[in-house]
Amino acid sequence: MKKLLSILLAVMMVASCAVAFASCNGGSKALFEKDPEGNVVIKIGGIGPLTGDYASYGNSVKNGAQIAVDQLNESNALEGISFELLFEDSEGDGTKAVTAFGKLQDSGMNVSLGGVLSGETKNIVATAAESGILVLTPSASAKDAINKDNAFRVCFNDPQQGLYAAEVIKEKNLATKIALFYDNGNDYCKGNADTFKQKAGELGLEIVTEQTYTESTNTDFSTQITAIKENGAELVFMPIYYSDAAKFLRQAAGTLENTVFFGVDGLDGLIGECGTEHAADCEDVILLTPYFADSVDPVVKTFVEAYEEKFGATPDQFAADGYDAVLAIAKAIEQNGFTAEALEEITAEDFNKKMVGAMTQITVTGATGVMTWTADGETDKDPSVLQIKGGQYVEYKKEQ
Amino acid sequence: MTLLIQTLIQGISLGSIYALIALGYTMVYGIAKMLNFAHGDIIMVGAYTIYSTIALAHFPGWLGVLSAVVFCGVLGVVIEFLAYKPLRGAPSLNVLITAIGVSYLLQNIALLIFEGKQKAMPLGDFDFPDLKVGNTGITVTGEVIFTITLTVVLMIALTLFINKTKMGKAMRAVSEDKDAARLMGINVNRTISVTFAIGSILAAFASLCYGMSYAYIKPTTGSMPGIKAFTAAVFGGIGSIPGAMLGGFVIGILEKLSSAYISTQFTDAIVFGVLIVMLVVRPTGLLGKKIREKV
Amino acid sequence: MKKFLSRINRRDALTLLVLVGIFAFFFIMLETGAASNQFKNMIIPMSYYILLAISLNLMVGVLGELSLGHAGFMSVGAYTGCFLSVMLVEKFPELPMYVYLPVAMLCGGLMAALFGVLIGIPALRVKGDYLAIVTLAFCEIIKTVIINLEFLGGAIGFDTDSIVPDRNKALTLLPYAAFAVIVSAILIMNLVRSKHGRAIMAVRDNRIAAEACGINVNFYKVAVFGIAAFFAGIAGVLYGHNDVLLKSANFDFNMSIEILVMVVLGGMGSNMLGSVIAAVVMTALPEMLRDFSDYRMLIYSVMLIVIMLFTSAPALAGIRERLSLGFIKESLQKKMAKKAEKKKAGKEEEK
Repeated sequence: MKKLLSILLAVMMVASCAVAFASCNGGSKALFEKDPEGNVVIKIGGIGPLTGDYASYGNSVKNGAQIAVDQLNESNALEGISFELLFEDSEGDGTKAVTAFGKLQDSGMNVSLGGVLSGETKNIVATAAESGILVLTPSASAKDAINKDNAFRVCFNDPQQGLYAAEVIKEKNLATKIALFYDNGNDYCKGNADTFKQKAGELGLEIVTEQTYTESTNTDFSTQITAIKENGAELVFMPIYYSDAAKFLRQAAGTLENTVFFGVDGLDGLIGECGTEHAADCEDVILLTPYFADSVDPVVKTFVEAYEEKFGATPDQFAADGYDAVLAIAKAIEQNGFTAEALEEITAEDFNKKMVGAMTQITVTGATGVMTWTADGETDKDPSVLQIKGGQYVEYKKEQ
Repeated sequence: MTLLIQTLIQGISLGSIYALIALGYTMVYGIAKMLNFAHGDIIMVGAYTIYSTIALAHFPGWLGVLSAVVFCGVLGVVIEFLAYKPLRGAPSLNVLITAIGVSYLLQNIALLIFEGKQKAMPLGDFDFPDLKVGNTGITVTGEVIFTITLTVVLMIALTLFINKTKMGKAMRAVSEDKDAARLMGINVNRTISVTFAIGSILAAFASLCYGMSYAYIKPTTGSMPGIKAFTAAVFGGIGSIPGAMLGGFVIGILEKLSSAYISTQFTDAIVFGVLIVMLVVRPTGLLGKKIREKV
Repeated sequence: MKKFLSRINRRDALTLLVLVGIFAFFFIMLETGAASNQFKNMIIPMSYYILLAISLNLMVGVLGELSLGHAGFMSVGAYTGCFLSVMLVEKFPELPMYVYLPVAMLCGGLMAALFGVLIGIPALRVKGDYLAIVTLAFCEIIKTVIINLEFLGGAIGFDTDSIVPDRNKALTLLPYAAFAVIVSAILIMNLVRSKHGRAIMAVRDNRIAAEACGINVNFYKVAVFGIAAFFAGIAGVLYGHNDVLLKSANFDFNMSIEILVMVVLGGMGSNMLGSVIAAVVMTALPEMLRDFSDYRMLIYSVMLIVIMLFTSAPALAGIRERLSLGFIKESLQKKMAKKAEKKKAGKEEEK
């Protein structure tokens, strides 16, 4: 029996090697392929968790980026140039993200969207440093996830948001007794909470309790809710994702009645998450976000409409980040003045260098606001302070 | 004091869900001598069935639960027939790996159908009023009362079924000695199928309680409660039905107590640490049978 | 040395040959640049999965104790080794890799071994599925504790970016990986074939009989836990150096299961070849399925079930028998014999 197994496995092994061999001839291929209409195709390669616990984030980015690619191709925004999105699954694991990156390179990727999560993006950025390809991650927010010259990001980094949040709370005089509530095992949440804590201390805001949970205990928050109530917090700062927030608010309903809930961009999508079923839960929640789906901004509107039509769902923050990343890439190509002819001549090294160089010069008006980039890969944009009122996001106004 | 009582009630509620799932593990283990790692995912399937019938097909709530119970029961039997039955007689670890394969399969099918985004459970029909105990400040939510009541009822029903009915007797016989049971004219295959069906039906009820308490589901919803319940089953002594009930409650209460009084960050470490100590003291769990070793 | 070599039997020699072959193949692929990028990035993971599978097979197949916590040992090794490497590189920037990486591997392995012994002690009382839960619990405890240790990066992860240069990482690490895996394989196989190995298998087959023969059962159980954890720790160090960010959440139950799948699929027991091949195949399989995009993991799970049914269903024993090497060899021999007979008969007739 074992022998049969060995044979079977050995055959598969040979097959796998053959696959590896077969795809290795790509090295000598032209940098760009052409589509049937003769346009030069720019291949954008994204990686993110499409299966497993974080699947919804990866799929949102993928869908958002796809909308941008479709729009660019339909409107023929760049003469003779079309875009193609390749997206690989990382299962949220850094090692698998790196092999996925290799697969994308083999398929002739020209620009990388890095990863969706911070951990995997750091791995991808380290691997991408070798070829110098432009990496523009939509959503990896950890400070050092983009620590190489060729890496940029669309979203805020974690420290920025924590700082803004503390400032807003102080400025608008929302509360003085604050409870922190976040996922201790998640870098996004932890990063935000840490800077918030520091800034709040400087501004004289009192943090009365710090309640945490982890991925394996993210279903039952009753202990934390009890503790927040006991400590008399007036405001809960929760730098967490909407999925956990919806669960938290559901369980807090009835217990934490006069408490203000305050979150950052991870909370976008909360309205859709609570749905009609639990709409009351998210009422009055305040969040700090550069993007919201109900905005009247024309760019956001066209994006949201196209997304809803194609995928039958409201795009969240991740989707908007993915959309903007592709817009920024198109803009960088435009900035360089690349024409179809010029692209056919260019070497990979030159192309990468020019694309990276253009990133600090462009200004992109996307769904998440107007963005410019600094050389260290960070973007600057203004977040708005929003509040959920009657199932809508509205600009926050203090009640008199 | 209020906090203690509140925490204990929460612990019992969480423990009820663990216990319902743990029963499935332990029954299947007792009879088929296999660890059915796909059992946790049955909860997820149950929850999505409820979701589909109520939110997508707009049927009333009770029908959603009924369809989940039926669907999970049938699914349990089908999985057993397709994936585990052919492996009867194979080493138990090979069956375990197959079960893991089934678990991946269920999760990925759910991911393809319902996508990764979590869904709100449409359980408006099961909204029960909260119970405020005098002026002690203790509030027992409707979900908690329902969960505990349902669990107790199901456990009594299960105990009666196993002790009083012919099928229950057959199940006990098969778990005692499969070959002897066969010689006594018991249809072993059918008994095993029924066991899977009952375990899965309990999981369907667990999914209802889960949905009521935590409101949201996604394709990986079942795995963590599954592991915890598996732990609970072992803790109580795997193969023992009262053990699974007790184990579920103990793990649930332990989890809530340690997160309330010690640390929410170290909850898992504390629960598992106590588990290791317990198993060292009583190597076959709380109510497990002592196995006498023979040469 | 003579004694050492004499212990290596034909099966082990074949395993070694395959291992050397695999690494030679990796090396040639990388050196000539023939490897696709995807394959290049799979090489180091394949190497440490081979080591993980062999070491788990020592525990599950040879000692006969189910462990669901192998990822825990791996994470102890990874964090210890990487912490050491980062410290060394920081203090002595000039230190070459061939100094600090082996040191890190050794220390990571030893630390993991310490934890292995620690967890082996409950194993003296707890058995079977109960022990599986103890190992699982242990793995979860380690995960939770590391997440809360700030000096190891906590939830954000431990940054190991500085210790291995980015350029051509696979080729830089391959010699170390090859050395670690091949030496470990030799050591493990040698152990299995030795007096001690026979004692361990005796414990597996019948503990009471083994004890009656004067074998110190407790010693061997704890020792195997320590040894298996040692090699898992080394694999962890390799993992950490190949990655740039260690996240303790990654070393979870699912990773332990992944390794267990390799061991069971490769066939448990004293023959390590199966584990080696299964480790390579199971690492490559999900990557090869990438072209199915959305259906990738679905197909993977179906394949896992089908492979298990095919390889272990008692009803299919007949078919397997027909497909086995031994059967083919036998039938070929029979055919040859028949032919020879015919020839002989023909010749005789001619005469």
